[in-house]
Amino acid sequence: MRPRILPRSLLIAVAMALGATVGPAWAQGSQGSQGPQARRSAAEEALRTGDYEKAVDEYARHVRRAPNSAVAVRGLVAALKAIGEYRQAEKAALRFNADVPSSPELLNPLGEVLHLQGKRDEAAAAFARAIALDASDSLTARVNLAELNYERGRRAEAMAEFDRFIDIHNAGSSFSVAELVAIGRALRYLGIDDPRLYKDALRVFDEAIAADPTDPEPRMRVGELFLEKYNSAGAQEAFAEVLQLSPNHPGATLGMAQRAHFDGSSEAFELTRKSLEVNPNLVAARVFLAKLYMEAEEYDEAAEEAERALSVNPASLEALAALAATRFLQGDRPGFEEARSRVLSLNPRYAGLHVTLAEASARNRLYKEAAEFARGAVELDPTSWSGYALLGVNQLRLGAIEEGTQNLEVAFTGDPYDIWTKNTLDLLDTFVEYAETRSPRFLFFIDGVESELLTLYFSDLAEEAYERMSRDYRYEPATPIRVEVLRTHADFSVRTIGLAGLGALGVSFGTVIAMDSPGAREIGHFNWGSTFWHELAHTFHLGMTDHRVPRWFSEGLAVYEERRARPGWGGDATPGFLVAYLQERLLPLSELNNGFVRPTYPQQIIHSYYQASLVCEFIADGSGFQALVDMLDAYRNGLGTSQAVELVLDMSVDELNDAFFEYFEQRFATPLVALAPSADPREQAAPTPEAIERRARANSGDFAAQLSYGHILFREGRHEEAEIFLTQAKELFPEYAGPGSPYWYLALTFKERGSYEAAAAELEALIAINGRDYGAHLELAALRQEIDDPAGAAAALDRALYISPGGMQVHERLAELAGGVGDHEMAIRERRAIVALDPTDRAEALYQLAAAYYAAGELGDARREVVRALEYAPNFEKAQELLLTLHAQRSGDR
Amino acid sequence: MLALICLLTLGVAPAPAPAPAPPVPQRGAGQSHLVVITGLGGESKYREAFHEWASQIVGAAEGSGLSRSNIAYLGEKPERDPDLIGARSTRENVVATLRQLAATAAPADQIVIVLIGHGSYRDGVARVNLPGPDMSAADFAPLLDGFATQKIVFVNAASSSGAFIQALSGPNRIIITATRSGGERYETQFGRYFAEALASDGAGAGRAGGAGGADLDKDERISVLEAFTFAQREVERYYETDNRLATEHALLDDNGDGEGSDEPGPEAPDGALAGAVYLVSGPAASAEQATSDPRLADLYAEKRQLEEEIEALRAIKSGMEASAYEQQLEELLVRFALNARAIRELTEQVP
Repeated sequence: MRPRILPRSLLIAVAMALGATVGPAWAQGSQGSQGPQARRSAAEEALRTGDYEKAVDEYARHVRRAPNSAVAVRGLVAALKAIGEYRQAEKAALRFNADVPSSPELLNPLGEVLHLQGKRDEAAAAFARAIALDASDSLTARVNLAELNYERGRRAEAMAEFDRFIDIHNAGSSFSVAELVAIGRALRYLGIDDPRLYKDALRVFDEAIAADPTDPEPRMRVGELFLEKYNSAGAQEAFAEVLQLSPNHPGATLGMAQRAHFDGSSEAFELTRKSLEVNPNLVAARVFLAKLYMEAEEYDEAAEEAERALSVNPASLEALAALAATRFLQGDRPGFEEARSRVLSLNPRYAGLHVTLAEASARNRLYKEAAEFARGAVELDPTSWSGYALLGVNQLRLGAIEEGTQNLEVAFTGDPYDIWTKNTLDLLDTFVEYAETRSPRFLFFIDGVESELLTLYFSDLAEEAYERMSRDYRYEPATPIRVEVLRTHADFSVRTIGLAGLGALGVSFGTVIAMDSPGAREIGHFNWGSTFWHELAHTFHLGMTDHRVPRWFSEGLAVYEERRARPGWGGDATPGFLVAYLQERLLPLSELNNGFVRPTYPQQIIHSYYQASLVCEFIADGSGFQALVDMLDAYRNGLGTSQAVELVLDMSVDELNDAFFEYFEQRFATPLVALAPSADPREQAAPTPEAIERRARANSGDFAAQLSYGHILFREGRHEEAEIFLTQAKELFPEYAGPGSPYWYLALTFKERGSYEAAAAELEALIAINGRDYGAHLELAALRQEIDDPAGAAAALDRALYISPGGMQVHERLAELAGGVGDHEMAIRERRAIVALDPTDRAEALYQLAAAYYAAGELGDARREVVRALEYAPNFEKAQELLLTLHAQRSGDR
Repeated sequence: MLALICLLTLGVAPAPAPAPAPPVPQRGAGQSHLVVITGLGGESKYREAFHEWASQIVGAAEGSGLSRSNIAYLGEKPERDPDLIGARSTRENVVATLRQLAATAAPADQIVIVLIGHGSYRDGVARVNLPGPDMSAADFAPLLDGFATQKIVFVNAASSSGAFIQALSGPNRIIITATRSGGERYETQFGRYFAEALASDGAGAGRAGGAGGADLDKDERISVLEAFTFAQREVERYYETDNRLATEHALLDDNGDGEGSDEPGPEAPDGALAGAVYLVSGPAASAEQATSDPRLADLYAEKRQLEEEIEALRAIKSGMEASAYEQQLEELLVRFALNARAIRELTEQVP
C-alpha cells in the first residue's frame, strides 16, 4: 500500500536539489545578486510586487515586440487575470494559440481564465490539451482539471487524480515552485478523506516557499489552507507575507478580510472592498461580501453582490449558493428554488450549497432551518465534515444534546482541525458535572456545585418572566425552555460560537437559552437576573416571528423588557452614549442594525443596544405596547422594518427616525447641554486639578467639570464643598449612576453626617438606574437597617442577589431580616441558600432552615430539616428542642 | 443557646461503654500542655496578627481553666505583652521549653504545639522563621521524640509548612500544616481560622457568614478534626470571597504514614485519631465524667446506648428505603432528645 504521508527525507532532497534548505521561508530570502529577483524582468517584477498596471504595460510591450513569446504572453495573461480582465486575458491566450499552434504553453493559462468565467467545458478542454501536449505547466493543468471535475461533482474521478500526485511527488526528484504548488493543492483535496495529508500539503507549500521566497503563490496557498483549517494566526502571517511581497495582492487582501471575519473584526468589509478595487471581478470576494451583507441582514445588497459574481462566472457554485441563501433569507421562495436548482444542475453533489444555507440560516438565528440544511449537506456528501459540524451545533442549539453530540463526533473524526467542533466537544465532556432541575415551564442545566443555590433564584424569576411576557404578548413559547447556565464565560462563549472571546453575557436560540453563571464574571460586571430576562424576551420575540425579527428590534425590545421588569435593569444613559450623539455617531434607524453587526467603533454595539431600547420605549409610549407586538407580527409576516413601521405606525422609517431623535433631544435636553464640552476634542486631554477647578467654577453647566471637581474635593476630605459640585453634577445629568456617580458620593457624605435617610435616598436613586452596583445595594441595606427599616433593607439585599447570589453573609443577613419582618417565604429561601452554599457548620444551617419552616407553619418541612440537622449532630440542643416541639405538636394533632 | 465553658482539655473521647462512667477523671488520664510559638512577623501587621491569633488560643485555654503552668507562649517580642508571652521565640528558647516539658510531662499527658508565623523553603528544607536561627522540621523531630508516650498535636500554621508532615509523622501524633508543600510560600490564613475555631463557642453565635462554630456535631466539644475542618473551610471561603486563587491547602496526618490528607475524616486514611482528640470541652462533657448521681449515670448510659443505635442506623443508611430510614432515625432522635432534656434538667438542679 502506498505510504500516505510524504517522506520528509524526500522533501529535503527535493529542496536541496533546488538549491534551498528546509526552514523558515524568510531565512532564504537573501540570495545575493544571483537570486530569482535579480534574474527577473521589470514586467515580472511588477507582477510579483503587485504593480499590475505596470505589469500589463510591460508585458503588452514585450508581446508587441515578440508576439510568439510564450513567456511574454503568459505574463500578460497573468497580469490581466490579477486585475480581473479575464476576457482580455482569454483573448491574449487565444491569439497566441492561433499564432503558435505548435506551442502548448498557453493552454493551461487559457483554461484558468476560462474557468474563472464559468466556461467549464472549454476550460476542461484546454487543460486536457495542455496535459496531452506535455506543456511545461502540465502538472498545474492536471490539478486544475481535477479541481474542475471535483467542482462538477465527479468526486471519485477527481480524487483518483489527486491521489496520483502522491506518486508523482514520490517518484520525482526536482519540481518547480508551480509544480510543488500543484502537488500541495492535490494533497489539500486528499485531506478531506485523510486529514493527516493537510500537514503534507503544508510541508509541500513550505518547500515551494523555500524554493522561491519571493513568489507569492505558495504563501497564498498556505494562508488559504490555514484559513480553511481554522488557524487564524497562521493565515494572518501567511497573507501578511504575501502583502509584503505584493502589497496590492487582491487574493491576500481578501484572505486578510476573511481572517478578520474569523476573528470577529469589523475590518472584513473594508478589506474585501479593497481587494475588489484591485480586481473587481474577484468572484470569491463578491461572494464573501454577499455573506457579510447577509450577516448584516442587508439582503438586497447581498443579492446584488451574488449577482455581480455570477455575471463574471455564471457557474460559480459559491456565488449561486450565496444567492440561494440570500433569496431564502429574503423569503423569496421562487428565487431560492431557482438558484438552488442552478447549483444542483452544475453539481448534483455540491454539499457546499447546503452548508452555505445552513451557515446563513444560523447566522440569522434560523437554527431549525440551519439543522435541516446541514442534514441535507451530509445526505448529499457523507464527507461534508462542515455539514456534520453545522448539524451537530444547531441540534445543540435546539436542545437535542445527544444527537448533536453524535454528529459533532463524526465531524471531528473527519476534520480534527475544526477548532469549533473540538471546543464544543470539550465543553460537552464537562456536561456530566452539570445537574438538571425543573420548574413548571423551565429546565435548568447548571453546574452541580451551584445548581441547588441558583435554581432557588432562577426558577422564581423565570416563572415570573414567563407569566408576565406571555400575558403581555399573548403568546406562549413551547415548554420546557432549557436554560443552560455555564460555569465560565469561556464555556458560555464556546456554547454560543464555538470559540472563546464572545463579549455577550447570554444567548437565546429560541427555546434554549445559554448564559454566564453569576460566578463566571466578577461581581458588578453583570446582573444575571436582567440578563436572563433579556434572553427570555428573545425567546418570545423569536418564537412570535418565526425567528425573523431583525437584530436591532429584537435587542432593543429585550433591553426595554429588562427595564420594565425591575428598576435599574436594562442599561442606562452613559456620558459616552450622549457624547456619541453629540458627535453624530449614533446611527439613524434605517442603519441601526449595522451598529450590532458591523460596528465602526468599540462602544457602538453597547450604544446601539441602548438606542434601540429607547426606540422601543418611544414607540410604546407614543403608540402603546401593542404597537410593539404588531411590529413583531409584521416581521413574522415577512415584512422588513420599513414596511413594518409603515404598517404599524403609519409613517416612514425616516419620519420615525426624526420623531425619535426629537424625543431623544427633549428627554436628554439637560445632560446634552452639560456634556457638550466633553464632545469637544480640545477637552479630551487629561486636565490638571487646578484646570478642573477653574472649569467647574467658571461653568456650572459643565457636567464633567462639576463631577470631577466634586471627586477632588471629596478625596481631599472637603465633603461639604464637594456636596455643592456633586449636587450640581446630579442635576445636570440625573440619569448618570455609573462609576463615581454623584449619588454614591452624596450618599457617603450624608452617611458621614448621620443623615441616613438622605443617604439611603441617594442610593435608592442610584440603584433605580444602575442595577449592577453590588456595593450600593449592600450599603443601602445597611443604611435601611440603621433607620430601622428592615423591609427596605431586605428589599435591597434581595435585589443584590441578582448581581451575586454567592455571598454567604448576604444570605445570612437577608434570612434574619426576612424572618424579622415575617416574610417567611424569603426567610426559607435564604436558609435554603445557606444550606446550598455548603456551610462549614451544616447542622446549624439545617436547624435554621427548620426553624424558618416552623415559623412559616410548614411543620412537615421543619421536621424533615431538623432531623437532617440532628442526623449530622445528634447532640445539637436547639435542634433537639425543636424536634421535641414538633413531635409534641404532631402527637397533639393525633 | 449553649453556654460553653471552654476548657482546653486535651482528652480522648471516652469510648462508649456499657458501664456507668466513672464519677471523676481517673488518675493517669493525663494533663494537657499547650505551647504556642509565634515567629518573625517581618512587618507590624503580621506581628500584630500573629500575636492576636496566639492570644486567642492562649486565652481560650486560660479562660477555660487550663492551668497557666501548663501553657507556654513564646513570641517575637515578649515586651508586647509580658503577662502573656513567657519568652522570646528564639530557637534556643523553643528547644529549652520543649525539652523541659518532655522532662516533666507525665506519660499519659498530651502536648499541643502551635507554630504561627512565616515559613520558608530553600534547598529542599522547610523552616519556620524565628528571631535568630530558623528551625526546620529536622530540628523539631528530636524534640518531639522526647515525648515518647504522650499524644502530640503539632500544628504548623506557617507558609511552606507542608514539608513538616513527612519529617514529624508518627504514631500517636497529629500533624497539621497550613500548606500541602514547601512550595506554597505565600502568607497563610490558616492560623487565623484555627485560632478562631478554638475561640468560638460551640454554636458559633455571632459568627458572620453563617459559618457557625467549630463544634460541627454540637456535642459541646471541639475535636482536632473539627478545628482543622473549620479552619480549612474558612480558608477556602476567604479565598473564594476575595476571588483569588488559593495559595494554601492545609493537610492533616494522624496515621503515621507521613502523608497528609486534605479530606480527613473518621472513614478516611487520616482523621480517626484527630476526631477522637478534643481541644475544647463544654460542661456537659465534663459533667458526664464527673457525675456521682445514679439517676444521671443511668441517663448517660441510655445516652450512649442511643448514640450507638443512631450510629448503627446511619451506617446502614445506603441499604435502606429512604422513608424507613427517616422514620427510624426520627424515632431514635426523639428518644435521644428526650434523654438529653432529662439530663439537662437533672444537671441544672445541681447547685
